[in-house]
Amino acid sequence: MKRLVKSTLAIAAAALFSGCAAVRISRVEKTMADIEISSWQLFSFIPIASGDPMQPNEAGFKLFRDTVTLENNMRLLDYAIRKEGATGVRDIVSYSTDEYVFIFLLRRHSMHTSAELIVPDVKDYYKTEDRVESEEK
Amino acid sequence: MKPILTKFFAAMLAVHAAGCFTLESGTLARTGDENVLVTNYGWYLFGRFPIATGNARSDALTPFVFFRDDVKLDKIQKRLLDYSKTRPGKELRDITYHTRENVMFNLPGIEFQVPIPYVLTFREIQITGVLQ
Repeated sequence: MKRLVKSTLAIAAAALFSGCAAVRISRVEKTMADIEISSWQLFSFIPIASGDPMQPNEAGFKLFRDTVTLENNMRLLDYAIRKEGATGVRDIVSYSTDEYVFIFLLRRHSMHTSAELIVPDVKDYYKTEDRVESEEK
Repeated sequence: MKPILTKFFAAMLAVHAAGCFTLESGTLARTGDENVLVTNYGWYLFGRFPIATGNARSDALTPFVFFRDDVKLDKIQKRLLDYSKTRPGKELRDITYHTRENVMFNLPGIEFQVPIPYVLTFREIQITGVLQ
């Protein structure tokens, strides 16, 4: 029982202190990408663990490195463009968020980026829909 | 040992409480679009009088300034536009603001709040744009 509690706490601590890198895609009529990379830092400048931009949507993380940069978010956006076969991108918006634990001792720093991916199929679908609507009118 | 730790924590607290200005960018390899994000935040007394804010001047020697309000739309936007001028041939598009204000004083990371609003307030402005 004691070992189980220790293992659970160890897993919880690992989850708490590891960052994450996520690429989420929504394909409802338009293809939207939402990207997030986060990290845990000591006193806001000593990185403990950060999400691994080379392994998005996986449990990978980088220890003692800060990967929360706009450059890495753009890398993940490139990854999303390739994955979706998009020909372009528009409406790129980025912002950062901070959460603090124990006053300023620990900080969870995240960088978010969202954008619309221009996927040829979706554009064709829109053209068809527009055509149908205009014909109905 | 204890006084050193206390001083270290106090210094960290002061640096964090002071405010911070950041400008960063990233480029999409596929399209060449460059996303730029400018952020600044600061602390105010009664929601109006700046105590400490991030230093938004391009020739800034310190990352923060006291008793000067640099968390303003025009100052942040000017830095974004100044940056865009260093990239000739590219047009700045998709400019978006993201502002946040906390009017109840609470130190980040603890739940305790002074139950009187607008005594010590926190304000942050972020502006993002794309150079195409």
